[in-house]
Amino acid sequence: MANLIVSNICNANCDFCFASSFLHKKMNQITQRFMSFEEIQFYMNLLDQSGVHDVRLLGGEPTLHPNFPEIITNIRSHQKHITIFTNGVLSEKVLQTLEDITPDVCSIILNMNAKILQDQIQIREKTLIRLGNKVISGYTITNPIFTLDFLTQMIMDYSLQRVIRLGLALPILKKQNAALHPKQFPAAGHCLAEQSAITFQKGIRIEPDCGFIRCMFSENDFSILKEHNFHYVSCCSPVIDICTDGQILHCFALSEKYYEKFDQSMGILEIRKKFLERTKPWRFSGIYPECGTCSYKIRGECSGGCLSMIMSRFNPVGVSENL
Amino acid sequence: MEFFGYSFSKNLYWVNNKEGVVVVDDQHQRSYVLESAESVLWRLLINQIDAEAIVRQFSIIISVPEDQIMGKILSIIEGWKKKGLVERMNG
Repeated sequence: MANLIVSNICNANCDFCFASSFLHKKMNQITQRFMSFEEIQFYMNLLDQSGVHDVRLLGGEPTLHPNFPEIITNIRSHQKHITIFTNGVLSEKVLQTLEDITPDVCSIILNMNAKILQDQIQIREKTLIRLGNKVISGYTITNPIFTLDFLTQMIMDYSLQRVIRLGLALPILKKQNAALHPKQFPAAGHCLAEQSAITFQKGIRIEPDCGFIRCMFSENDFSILKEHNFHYVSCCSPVIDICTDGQILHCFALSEKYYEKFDQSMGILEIRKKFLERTKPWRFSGIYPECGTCSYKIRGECSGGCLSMIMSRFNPVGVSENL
Repeated sequence: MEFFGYSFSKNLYWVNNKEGVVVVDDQHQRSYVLESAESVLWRLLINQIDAEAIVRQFSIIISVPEDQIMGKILSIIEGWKKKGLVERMNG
């Protein structure tokens, strides 16, 4: 699996955005840029050679790419499964393209708490009506007390897929995006257990994204979640990001520290392996001081949380670069 | 930062964990969990108090008489040198 960051611009303005380092509006020295069709073709060939069968399109907002329909056609010609991460504010051209594709070929993950304007909400509604069961709802927990009621209602109203891809607002290292504090995790875990009853009743499955930790759930909450078909995973197994400027990232959260200029002598899998080796020393710790002695972590039931949060806890010694 | 003729190596990061001080050597992609006495000494050195005060406080905290404490300090630092966490000043 690999992420192609085909656009570094976005038409939403989410406080928790993981990609803010790459967004045109937020970094003056980076100009608006879309990955060229030639670059995409080049990376497709590279992914073919590396045996990567799943391509995820991200941004910014990937559908803003002026050649978006052609990109989809191109990736499909390489027999790859496509996942699109979007805010749902889609142009007619993009909507038509996505209407013609079946869910087994392309998954559409729609960020349901994207910060968009009123007129954009209406456009997104059109997307939901027309794409319906092709859409998987994405939701990012930005506050420990949250509700999935509205999302459940939207899934029912628009006949979306009965899945919620649930993420945590995680910090970008050295940046100031809105993120949960580790101390808020247990409250968020409890809230999730409560919310899972509502989604379960409606036959909606919750799939967790990265950053979840085992101890954010009490034993009671964990059993409730299990009963409600929540498949807890806690791992840090990054899907590398291939950016518009030829940079390869470990992940957005660590985009300010772990990036490489693409090197033709290395395949995608080798670059990923290199990132994993470089981040390995940090993985012995966790987001809390207790993580190193925690039985969940020792037994491999918990990764210790997001590496960006872990690294933020560390202090530089002497002439070290500030994390 | 100089202490007892040594200085810390570059690109080190540390954190106080329950099991002790954890040091990451980012350059060599290694991490170390310091033992109890090592963690105490590390924290005293990082706080940059003067050498005499470090000796005195370390002696009290780990309950080793002051006439033996210097040997303990140097043996810890020598261990760190082998791991590449500190370097001898002037070569």
